[in-house]
Amino acid sequence: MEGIPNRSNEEQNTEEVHKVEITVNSVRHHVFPGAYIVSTFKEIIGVPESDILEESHDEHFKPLNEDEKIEVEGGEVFRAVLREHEVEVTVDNKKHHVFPGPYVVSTFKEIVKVPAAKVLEEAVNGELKLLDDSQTITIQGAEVFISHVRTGGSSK
Amino acid sequence: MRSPDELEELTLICPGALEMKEGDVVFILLPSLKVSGHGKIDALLCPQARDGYTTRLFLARQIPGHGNNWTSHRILDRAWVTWSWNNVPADLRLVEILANHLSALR
Repeated sequence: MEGIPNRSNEEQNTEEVHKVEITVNSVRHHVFPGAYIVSTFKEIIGVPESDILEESHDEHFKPLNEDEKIEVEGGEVFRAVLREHEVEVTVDNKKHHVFPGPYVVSTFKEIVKVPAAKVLEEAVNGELKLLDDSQTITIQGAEVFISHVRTGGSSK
Repeated sequence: MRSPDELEELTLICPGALEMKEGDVVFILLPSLKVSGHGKIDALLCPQARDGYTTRLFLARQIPGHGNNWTSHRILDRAWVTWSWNNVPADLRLVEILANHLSALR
């Protein structure tokens, strides 16, 4: 047919990208080869955001930073590990130690022993931000929270 | 008088928080308090009953469109305004009292 370039089979085959096999926690996964940001790669292979992803190099595992770029060619061996170090947050002027990572606010309240009936606010640069129980917050360390009962009303 | 711990906690929100007295009434001066969506405003927290209110938060300026029945007051030789917002108990921590008053301005 005129107007359509006639490509050889060899040319067409080079455009197909096949998945390659990698290992994560001794389980085989199949992913497309190429460059990935670690945080995105963790999502693809089903590693919780709160875990640290490590890659095996010369039989030693090296932790990968969340924003690091990795090149996947196939055959790589990874493992996901719980973060070992908790970070300190302040809740109602008391120090708590929690693992960094994302939390649903209602779950975070349970962990830091804030009654479900109280609302939680985060002090961000001196400004109070009301947190909805269903929203997700990311703990990095040094966050400051206050909880309080919801009171007050416009008087007539 | 409020405990040093309560005042220290308040400094996480407003580093310049300062306890002051006028007669028998205790006030907490909150210079350049960050009010969500309204910038920095000098504020004065009264954490005890006054004028028929269990606690009150006074501001250096009114916030249009928020709060009802704004009134003017002169406290500690300075002009303040506040809105009608009652029944925030005085037995809460200072930061809880403040948070509940600020919630009315969201």
